[in-house]
Amino acid sequence: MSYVGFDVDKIRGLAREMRKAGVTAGPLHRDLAKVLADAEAALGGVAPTTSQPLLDAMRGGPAKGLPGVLATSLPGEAGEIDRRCDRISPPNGGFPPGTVVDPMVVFDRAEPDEGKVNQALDLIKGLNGKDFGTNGNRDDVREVAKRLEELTPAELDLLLSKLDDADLKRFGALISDTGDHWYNPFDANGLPEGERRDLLSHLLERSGPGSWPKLAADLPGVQPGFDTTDVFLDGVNSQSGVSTSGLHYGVPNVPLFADGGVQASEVAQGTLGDCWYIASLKATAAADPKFIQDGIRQNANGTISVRVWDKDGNLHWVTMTPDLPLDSGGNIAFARSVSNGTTTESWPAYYEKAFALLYGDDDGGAPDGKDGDSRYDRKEHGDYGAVEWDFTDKAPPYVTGNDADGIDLDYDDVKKAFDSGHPVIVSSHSNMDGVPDHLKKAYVTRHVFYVKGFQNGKMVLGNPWGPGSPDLVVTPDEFKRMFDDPQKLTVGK
Amino acid sequence: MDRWRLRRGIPYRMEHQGEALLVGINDLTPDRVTFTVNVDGVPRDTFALGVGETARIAGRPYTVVAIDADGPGFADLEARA
Repeated sequence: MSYVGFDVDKIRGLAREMRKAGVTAGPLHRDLAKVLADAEAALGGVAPTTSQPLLDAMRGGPAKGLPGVLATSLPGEAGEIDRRCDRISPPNGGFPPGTVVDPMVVFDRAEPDEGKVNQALDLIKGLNGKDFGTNGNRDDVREVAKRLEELTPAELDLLLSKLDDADLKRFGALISDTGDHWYNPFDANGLPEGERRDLLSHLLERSGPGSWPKLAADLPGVQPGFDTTDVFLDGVNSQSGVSTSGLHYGVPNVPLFADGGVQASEVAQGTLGDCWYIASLKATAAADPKFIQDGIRQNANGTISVRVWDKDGNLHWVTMTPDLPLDSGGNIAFARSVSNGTTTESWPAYYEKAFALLYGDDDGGAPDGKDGDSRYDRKEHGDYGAVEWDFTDKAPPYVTGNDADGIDLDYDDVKKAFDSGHPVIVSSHSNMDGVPDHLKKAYVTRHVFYVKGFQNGKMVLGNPWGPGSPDLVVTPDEFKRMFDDPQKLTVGK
Repeated sequence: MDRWRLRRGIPYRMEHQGEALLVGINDLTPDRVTFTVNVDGVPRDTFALGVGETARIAGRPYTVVAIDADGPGFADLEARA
């Protein structure tokens, strides 16, 4: 037996076992589906037999989920194992003991082209101390970006494993700085925001999980920071479940979607002051849940991509690592879906994370009242601090792809917009003046609400705080006295 | 002693005796914080307190020790034994 870093015979044995398991997966799926069908018949449709998404997928039709899909995937993977084992133990006797086999050769579907990898590596290293000429460095970093985008996933991982942190950081700094040099107004530097975002998304979508920490550490814009958010700077909330001192990145313990897809009513603002964004997200999800559902996907390597329009109206799929800011208890700290008091889904958190990465209209401190405090009062971009406290009309273009239209503060005008399918959001006042006593418990000053509907001649307004917060039900006159600046959103291009 | 910074615009969720509570500020003025404890989406208790005044939240007494009404603003509460 040839020894090449691991026991090939045992690996081949694993492939044999996988094939065997694949043979039993189909009948097992059918048996389980029959049990479910029998249970459903016995219940007579009075109640669902299960709320488990995995089991739910078994109801009728072809096997789309576990365990049925294993009938085809396990033999396929076994074939891949055998093919790779053939590479390192060919029929003519294999490699001599002690041979070092590059994992990239063994574990990727196509062998990486080391020539391509080395060329890209040399280009990145060559940026060190390079004279970029009078036209700036944009053409140089663009050439590097193009080479990176041409690499296969295996080649990209191989390159990242070989690349020094200092070289990757230099590249990250160069693509991020688009400023002109004072002595040369005609130079073009860095990659424009949209181009840079698309490059980062491309790298994340194609690289393996082992490369993500390096990308996050060395390339600005891969992972949005949270250390300038009010909630993190406070760090004093010791109340059960709201501690911020333990805020950290981690993979959430809830799925992207649980049951039933996008439910606007379940979207809950977290401990981030971004009601102005969450209100737009909830309003759009309520008006067109499919639009929001279609705007997020999980990629084969585990990254998540969310559709966001940038400040110039250009569409991007912002790809992110699957980790999110979690509180000290391991729960999602910011936006998420909540049902029956429990966090159930993570999709709103990824929408919020993508927005934090791409939002480009933060003007600094205003209106957060922290003028002069450099921790709070600064123009931010690419982190969660950038999306705290801003104006009502700024979020909709990022969510829908279209600017919001201000409409008259008039009940009938708002109803007309809502009835014609437009999401509508509206600001509250900065004080309680004009708020009748019976509505004061549900009213929140300096906040953004969204229109949920109309009933018995009254308007129903939802709070972006989500489940657990009361709706406001107001007459036309109360609406006029209590709110300001209604915005009509238009979904999609 | 537990200290709780209650920020304007932020919902605080907690569970108490099997009930899902949501606490949030309704309004802030330089000398008064008004906040509501909602239970399962229904307002149960609304407090309008100045510094030094106490409210009972989730079975614990909390005293307002500071109010900052600028910008987003906040109120600092301290849990009493």
